[in-house]
Amino acid sequence: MKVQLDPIWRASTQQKIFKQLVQVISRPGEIAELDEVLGGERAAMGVLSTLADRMVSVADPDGAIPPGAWPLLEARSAVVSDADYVVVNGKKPPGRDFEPRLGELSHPERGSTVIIEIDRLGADEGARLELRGPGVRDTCSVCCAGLDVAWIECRRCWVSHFPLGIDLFVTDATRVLAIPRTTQVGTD
Amino acid sequence: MTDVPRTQWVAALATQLPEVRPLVDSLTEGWQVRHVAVPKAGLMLLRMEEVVLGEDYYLGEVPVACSRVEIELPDGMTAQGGAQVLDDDEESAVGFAVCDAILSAGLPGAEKVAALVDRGAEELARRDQVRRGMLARTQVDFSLLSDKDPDGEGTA
Repeated sequence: MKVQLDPIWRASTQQKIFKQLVQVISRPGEIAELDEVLGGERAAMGVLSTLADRMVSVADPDGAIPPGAWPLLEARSAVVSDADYVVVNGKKPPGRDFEPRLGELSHPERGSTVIIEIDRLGADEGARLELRGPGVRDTCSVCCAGLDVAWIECRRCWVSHFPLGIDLFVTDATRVLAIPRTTQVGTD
Repeated sequence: MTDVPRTQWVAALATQLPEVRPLVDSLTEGWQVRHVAVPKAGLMLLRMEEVVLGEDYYLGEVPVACSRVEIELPDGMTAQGGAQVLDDDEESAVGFAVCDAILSAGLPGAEKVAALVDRGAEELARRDQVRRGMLARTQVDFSLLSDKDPDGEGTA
């Protein structure tokens, strides 16, 4: 009997994705290619399947997570202001009521991780982000096609009281880029 | 199809494991079987409640495997099943979950699964009887150790 389970739900795949996530969050601006391990799934789902478990909560305001994936994720569904992880469509600007959790001074790690899905990372089109800060040698420039720059403007506000803030993963179909709260982001 | 309640199906099937696997393989040929939740096997802490203060404590670890599956037949019919067993074998849990789906939805082959469940239930009843017999032999009548009259009158 052959029972189907998409690769992203297997521990071996999640370990490979986790290794890539550690790499990109250590080197903001570096883009990791996950195509080989995703088995046709979107990178955002690969990231989420790796990071989420029954101990955390996930908000999905844009309906990016298929209903059948929730039991596999095991995470609790939550509103944006109370979620550990938030998945959003980067083409749309954040709504007025979009307020991710920023953590507390005694527990800054409780700030949300926001996964923004866009059209294409690293192509010579779309919003150009200039990154600097820990893990970036001088500056790093990366183009994000399909990213509404309002996300970057809002992020500036969310991370303005370090160590409070959010961490970002920006994904396209198969790739991921990390922008931790320590990174300064400029747009042109 | 079977009088055994659904909560007992997996326990009954677990006594018939060597026959469950080939049956599941033959019944699911041409069907699509998907995991609805990630199957898991490992050790689980067994939580008990002590009787004096009613507080929880952990008796120890037990091996547990669990699975939830969805079956889709070529005609589009779907059914879901689940199983949780005291075993560390994930594949067994998946097999039981498939049997649960077949029997609960009355899919083709359900009568064969029901027959296995009935046989398993008989085996469970036989084991239970043996166990009760063993336990009965360990019972001790402590009343003989007391020098007090059970009616509270005291000894003569």
